[in-house]
Amino acid sequence: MSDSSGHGSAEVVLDVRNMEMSVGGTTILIDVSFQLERGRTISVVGPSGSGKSTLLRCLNRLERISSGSVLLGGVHTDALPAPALRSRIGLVSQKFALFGHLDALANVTLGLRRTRHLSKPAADEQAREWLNRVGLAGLEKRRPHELSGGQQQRVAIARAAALEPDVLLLDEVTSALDPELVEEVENVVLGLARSGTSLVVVTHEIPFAAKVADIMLMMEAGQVVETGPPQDVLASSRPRSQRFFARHLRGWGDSITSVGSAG
Amino acid sequence: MVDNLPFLLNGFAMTLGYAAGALVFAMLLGGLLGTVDYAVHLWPVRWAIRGFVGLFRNTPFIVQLYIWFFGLPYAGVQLSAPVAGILGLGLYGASYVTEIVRASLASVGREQEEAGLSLGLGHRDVIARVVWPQAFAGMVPGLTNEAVALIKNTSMLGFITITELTLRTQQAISSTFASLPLYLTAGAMYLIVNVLLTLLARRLEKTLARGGRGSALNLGSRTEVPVHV
Ligand SMILES: Nc1ncnc2c1ncn2[C@@H]1O[C@H](COP(=O)(O)OP(=O)(O)OP(=O)(O)O)[C@@H](O)[C@H]1O
Ligand SMILES: [Mg+2]
Repeated sequence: MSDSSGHGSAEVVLDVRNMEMSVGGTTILIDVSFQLERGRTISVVGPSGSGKSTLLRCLNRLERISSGSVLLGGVHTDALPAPALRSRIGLVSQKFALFGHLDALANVTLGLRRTRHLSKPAADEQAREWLNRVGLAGLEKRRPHELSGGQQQRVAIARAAALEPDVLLLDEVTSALDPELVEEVENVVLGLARSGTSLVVVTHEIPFAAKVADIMLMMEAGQVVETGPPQDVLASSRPRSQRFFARHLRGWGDSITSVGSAG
Repeated sequence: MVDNLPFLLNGFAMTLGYAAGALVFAMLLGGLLGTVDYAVHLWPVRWAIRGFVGLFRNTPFIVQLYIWFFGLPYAGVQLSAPVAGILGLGLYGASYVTEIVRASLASVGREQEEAGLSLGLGHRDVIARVVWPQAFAGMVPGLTNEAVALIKNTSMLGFITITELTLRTQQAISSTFASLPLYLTAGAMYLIVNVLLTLLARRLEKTLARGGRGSALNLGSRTEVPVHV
């Protein structure tokens, strides 16, 4: 939810064109297209199994797309080797998967040292700074099992964000957490969005999806069925979308409309 | 009995030497094959490794040893007893080590591997810096069992003329007829090495479980720092 007025030019950092993905005859993504402007945030919502994770995994090339193209900063990524691509399009998944043998600091420095080729002091310093930014100053020496779920997920976000990728993909980073830990992680994501990181955020938390994003994208059965500013998507007249939002906003009352329009 | 002790100790030294040589061979080869089996998704490679493991684990060690030493000359290849001994023990051990290593690497889980990959690390980097370090602690008990089994299996090297502890014992018995004391002495020697080895492995296991680098456990205090990205 970076301020819409402040940006002069709208450089498209991520351009997904007609992306399709199928496994063994089953098509999982159908003709997915969207654009992300640099510094902006797209949230992706949709029912379970609609292909949200697959979309992110394709962008990070953990899965191969069957057709279509992904442009990063206007350049086709086909020719880019997977490690180079992945260091520019980061991914944090629901299972944060911190490296269990490394402390929080080393979890962050590993990527900085191996993919950014920083010296140890430089990597340490940058990692400290990032841990500080996600509110974990002082916990650098903790190993993953000595951290709460929310803290672990924040380390995972710092680990990916520290590489300063062009785009950071977040796949349901709060859904494996206890309810009371969700907010601290959402705040970190909001902070990233506000500080101008280009984000694609998959989440089941519709209010958060509306709050964090400039553009909301809804998927259904492998297709993008809604796209636009969150308040517009939430106000969609499409019956299936309405039912989806009704199901996911139960208990939120009218607060969501105000959240949506605040963006 | 006491007169025979130097004679037995000489055999014991031989046993230790062969065990050490074969152990290094088995660990290196098994470590390599187990890693390749885990990391390389090409069916010819996988089949070759599975074939090796299946063949060597499902045939008696003594038959394998005889093939190396007595069988190969039939095909025109004459291995010396030490070479056949180390090779035989090493390959047999490697077939078990391969499986232990592969299974331990696999137990680390796909998420860890993908977490490494999605940071932009190369596949080799991920195996070496993410998967292996986390798998190693889990390998220790299995590898210890293998080392103990391998040390016991050296007792069969006598069949191919290597004068290890068991053969030395039998030779001593054939001149002194003190079978029980001599067998008990030999047994005690094997026992001591294997118990020592097992104790050492336990300590290693504990050290690894603690995290190896003495990380300060501080679960009680959860310092919450305000978020300011
Ligand atoms: N490797 C695969 N092989 C076969 N089918 C797959 C594979 N990966 C995903 N699928 C299928 O693709 C569909 C989309 O899955 P995906 O995990 O992307 O959905 P999702 O929107 O992230 O769901 P959730 O909200 O539950 O996380 C599902 O029907 C799933 O079963
Ligand atoms: Mg998913």
